[in-house]
Amino acid sequence: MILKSAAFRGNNRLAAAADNKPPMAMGERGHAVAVLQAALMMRNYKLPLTIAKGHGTPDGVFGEETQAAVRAFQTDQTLKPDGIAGHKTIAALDALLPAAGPIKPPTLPKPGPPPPTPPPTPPAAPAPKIVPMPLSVDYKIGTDDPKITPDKGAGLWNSKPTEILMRVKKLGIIEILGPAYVLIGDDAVKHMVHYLNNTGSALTIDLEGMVAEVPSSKILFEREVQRIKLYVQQLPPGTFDVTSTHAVNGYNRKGESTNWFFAVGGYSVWTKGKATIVGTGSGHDCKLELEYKFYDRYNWDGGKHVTIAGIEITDEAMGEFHRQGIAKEYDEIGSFKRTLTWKAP
Amino acid sequence: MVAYGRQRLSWCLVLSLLFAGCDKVSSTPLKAPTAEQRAEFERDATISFPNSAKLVSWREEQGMDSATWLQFKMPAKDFQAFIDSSPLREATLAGDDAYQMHQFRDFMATPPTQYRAGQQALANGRVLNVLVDESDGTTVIVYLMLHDK
Repeated sequence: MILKSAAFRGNNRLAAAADNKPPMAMGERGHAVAVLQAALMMRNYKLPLTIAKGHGTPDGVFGEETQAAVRAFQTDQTLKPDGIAGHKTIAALDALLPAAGPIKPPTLPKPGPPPPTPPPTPPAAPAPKIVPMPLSVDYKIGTDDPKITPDKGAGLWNSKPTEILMRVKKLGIIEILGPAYVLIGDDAVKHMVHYLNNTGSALTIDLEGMVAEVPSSKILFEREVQRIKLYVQQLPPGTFDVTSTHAVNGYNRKGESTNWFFAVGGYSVWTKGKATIVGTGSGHDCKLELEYKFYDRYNWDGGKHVTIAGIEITDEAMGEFHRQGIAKEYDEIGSFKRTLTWKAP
Repeated sequence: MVAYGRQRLSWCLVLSLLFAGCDKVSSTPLKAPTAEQRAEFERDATISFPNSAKLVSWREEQGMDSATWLQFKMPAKDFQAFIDSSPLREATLAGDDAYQMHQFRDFMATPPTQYRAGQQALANGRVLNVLVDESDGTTVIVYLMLHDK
């Protein structure tokens, strides 16, 4: 049986299973099982234990959970719910997955002037080999950055008349920000000064500094490296652009770093890079030129407040600077690069 | 001028104390949530706690981007229904997540021997993190962390 979906086409084991030679069933392991699991997940059949064991990617083990997902799929498709992925099940799943693009026919040499005798028929070029890509919920082949939706912010800039009291408050803050960096950190001061400078222009943050100084940020980066490496080492030989399918969100807790708590707080990060794979099987060489990217919107919008000695400071007041046009929210951006080389286990 | 000087001094005091990291100012110790805090968490996280949930503790950290932690216990058999009824149904819950474990560690009486964790960005611009302690077969401890982006 010829499989048509981008996920299944070119996978010999799935093609064999689609011909019942033999079907896939409990106990089977390997890449084809991982592709089957990913395909079921793409159709919204949950495999939480499988993903947990695979550290975020399908584990490639046809166990009880996979069997149950196959059964659920078969039931939904009015097939015999035996939990075995054979001809009808693979065909039904294949038909529901996004189709692969058409195979481009090989380019033949243009014919020359008519010869006196018919030219010999050129040998048929072999059909291009379709190499299956690992399916992942976290990474894809390509360079498009994931869509990031910032939080709502304090509202429309300069949408209210400026009050004298707010100008005075702003001046008071500016006067103490110089010496305040000793207490709160240079990045927190720098970011607030940029807010009060009222330009709205993007600010490139010291992302390497944040990752070095904030334990949770460092752990998040290391987790991202671990996950993208697991994806990259499943790729076939060649060079590929790889990018996160979605951003992940981090949070610098105050107890970890006052500086980065006030400079950034919550944020989004994602990964992209160029992966080069040489060889196949255990021990093949992998190289990843990785870029770790960062985005956050500097705004005060949480509706929270603190009271100290009877004096209250609120997100509302800080956001009011923006609404009255004497400070302006802006994008915080950042990135750094690493080159990773390793041998696939 | 005197008024302006007093104003400036007030802001110096406020910002210095605010940024100095005084826990009494911007974060709260662990305690069971009040009815109001529970309702606020449910609203902001767009979740509903099931009737079988017993809310254990709550804390928050206030700043430019605020965060709230909430811990509750429930029968293990009810956990999947809770997930399915929440925005976390879109999240991938994976084991061995060092980031999530780090973010919840200070909130745990005992680290779990078996857990799953994940994250979901919400439509309201916040982020909901979850770690479920499945060390005990009959009861799960669910840790939630909601924070601004």
